[in-house]
Amino acid sequence: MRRGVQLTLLGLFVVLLGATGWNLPGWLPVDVFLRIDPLLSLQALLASRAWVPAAGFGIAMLLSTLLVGRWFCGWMCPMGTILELGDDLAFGKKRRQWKNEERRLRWLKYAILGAIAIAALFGAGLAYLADPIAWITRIFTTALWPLTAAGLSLLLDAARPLFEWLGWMHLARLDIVQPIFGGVGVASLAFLVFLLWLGRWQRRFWCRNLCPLGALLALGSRFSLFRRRVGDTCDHDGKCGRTCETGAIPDTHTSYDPAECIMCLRCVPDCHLSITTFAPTLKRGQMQPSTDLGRRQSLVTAGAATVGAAWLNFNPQRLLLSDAALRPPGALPEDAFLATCIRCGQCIKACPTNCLQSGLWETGAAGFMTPLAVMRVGPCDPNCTACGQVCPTDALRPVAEHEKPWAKIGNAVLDKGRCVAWEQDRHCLVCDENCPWGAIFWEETPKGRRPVVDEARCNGCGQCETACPVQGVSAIRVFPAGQIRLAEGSYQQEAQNRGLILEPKKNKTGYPYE
Amino acid sequence: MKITRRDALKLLAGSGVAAGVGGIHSITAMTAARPHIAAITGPNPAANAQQAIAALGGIGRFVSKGDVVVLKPNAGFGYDPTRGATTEPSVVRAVAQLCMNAGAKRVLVLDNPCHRADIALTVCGIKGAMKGLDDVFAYTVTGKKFFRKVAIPKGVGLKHQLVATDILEADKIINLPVAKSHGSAKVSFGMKNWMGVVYDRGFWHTDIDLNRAIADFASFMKPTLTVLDATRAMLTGGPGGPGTLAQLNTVVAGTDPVAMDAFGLTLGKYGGSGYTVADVPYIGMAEALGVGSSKLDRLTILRKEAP
Repeated sequence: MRRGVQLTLLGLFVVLLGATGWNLPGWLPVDVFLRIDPLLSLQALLASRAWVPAAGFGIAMLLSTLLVGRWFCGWMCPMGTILELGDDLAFGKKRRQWKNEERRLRWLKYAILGAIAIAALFGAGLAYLADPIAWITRIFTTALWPLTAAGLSLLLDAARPLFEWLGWMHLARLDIVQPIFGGVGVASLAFLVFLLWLGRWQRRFWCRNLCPLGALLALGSRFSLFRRRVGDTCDHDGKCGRTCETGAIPDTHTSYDPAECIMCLRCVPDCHLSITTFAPTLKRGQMQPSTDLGRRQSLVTAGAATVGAAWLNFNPQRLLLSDAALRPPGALPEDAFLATCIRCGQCIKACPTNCLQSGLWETGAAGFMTPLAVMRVGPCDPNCTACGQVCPTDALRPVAEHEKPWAKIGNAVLDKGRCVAWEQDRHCLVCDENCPWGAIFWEETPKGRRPVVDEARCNGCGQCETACPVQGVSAIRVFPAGQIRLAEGSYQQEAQNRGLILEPKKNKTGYPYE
Repeated sequence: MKITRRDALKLLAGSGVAAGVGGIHSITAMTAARPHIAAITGPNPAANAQQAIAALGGIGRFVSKGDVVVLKPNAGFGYDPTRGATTEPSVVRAVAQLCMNAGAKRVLVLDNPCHRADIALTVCGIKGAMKGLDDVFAYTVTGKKFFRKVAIPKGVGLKHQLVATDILEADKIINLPVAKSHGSAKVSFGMKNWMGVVYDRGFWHTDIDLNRAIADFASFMKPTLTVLDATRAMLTGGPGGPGTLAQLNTVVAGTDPVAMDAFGLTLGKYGGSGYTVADVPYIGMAEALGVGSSKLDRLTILRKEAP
């Protein structure tokens, strides 16, 4: 039954992630898994030092451990399910390098959690480096989804003649475009393979020893109301200890560690005497003492977190924004954005034009894996507000449709040296053709028309940069200078204060008539 | 179609009766009255399209039973159709319906848009307008696998092109452009609309003269019919807008691509002050390649107000 629930919830996770796109229905809670992640909620609370309403779901999840322990890990976590399935496939019943109940690295997950918490107090969001939900979202978005799209596309190509013969032209001409992601896609896939490989040592190695979300849930699970009880007639057959999903049952067999137990309940049917039960109880007997950080481990953790936070906050480009920091519309001001963005990649998945890419080091260490708009790959389509809609932490504000024109991303800059109209007298105004805003006008010269950018009308959407027919680097490129980044308030008001004209003159029918 | 002796006799008898009743004179008059170009103005764009085609002799003249017909509207931009950058969806639907009524096997409505393909086709309203029509399919072609390399025999600058395979394999092609001004080509009507059936139109801008390329490619395309949507002609700011529109409420149909473009110029003051054929080099270039004639004074043109 548990496997069924796990697969259903994993399916839900995949379907919701798959549903994100430009025409996403507003009521669909596509970010639900990230919203109920207590680690991310806690980080948001610590970093902002204020109550964030959205954190309520995560806190509720955390409180649920007081009742039924780490049920999230055993039943709901998509990363846990993937690791279990992968482990079954890769290792099955093979002997592992470590005994199932080996505890030597269990402290590490608490150290990672501690480091994240301390860094959050310093204002640096580090949870993204270790949070399993952020990782699994990122892995699906940048690695598994493109691979799936490529595979489906090949299958479809093979079946096209058949569909055409059947007269199913929509399928025969369906074009599954594989999204392109660079290094982060490869890194995400490598990380997933690494986590699976750790199964050589222990099943669910990540969940037992590394996962900071598991560590956080473990803190509450120690006091869980539902507890494992084993009757007095235990004959120490030991199957429960060998098959325990997280090695939470030591050699005594009658005790267990509620902080490590993920409530998979496998030990109940595995008990050949049928004397193992889980029931609510206030008695605290039959319990293995939990892992605690020693003094030295705690000090090292705190030190590492401090250095890490200081390193991330050290950004020589703080005063002048990097040219690469072209953020999606609605991104918070850069500092707040970096502190809030959990790099889950949900915005990148939702982006219908593949314009949003996961950066690596382009915006410094603090910007590792943050979303960047790469206009040469695709434009930021004016019809779409998906990225802000799906962002679970509102690092990208949900920009309303009528605000989108005013949420300026940057300014287009024309490179006359590369432009075929300016340099080679060609009849080319493709930038103007594609500009939704009328921000490109032309200079009449004896040798033809030549494009010029009107920055007051430029939204920075990058339609021009995508469409420019010059090979390689576009002759017109969008730079972040001029972008509007607001923590609150109306983009329209701010843009109009700056004298921008980002809406065509309209009459009742929508557009001006003669 | 094979004509048997019996068919021939029937035909002769039929025309004999017709001649007897109406007189042989009226048959020639009917042929002469069939216009080369029909421009219908009225409040309903779909009805305008239907009447314009009817005036040319009806869809049966252009589409036969069992044909695979490709319609090439301008679905290039992700804008609301009232912006005037894309073909009015109800016109596309009306023509698709006519083709199906004439017995077409299927109608393929396709474009290779400027903007992101799926967004453009949906937002411009053409995808939605085809809903409920059996065997009518609206889609975009952008991937290289949907194109095939062909020679342009008459091409002066453009010698080869990757052209949409569906275009190459169609039995009949109907061009469904929207009338609008254009930055680098001055105006965009029928011949310019073919930029949406090739894989890499950027090459037309960067590596050869744009006018040369448009004319060369027009020499390759053999549309059975052109239906120009001038419901709202974008006089300035084209091809994408925002620009000034002229609410012409007109749909024009014709078979000669060059004449249709030349006639399109007469519909409004494009670019602010208006253009003549001499201002738009590709029209003359196409005429020189034998694509058609821009001498409108030698053609029969029907202008009609629909009720």
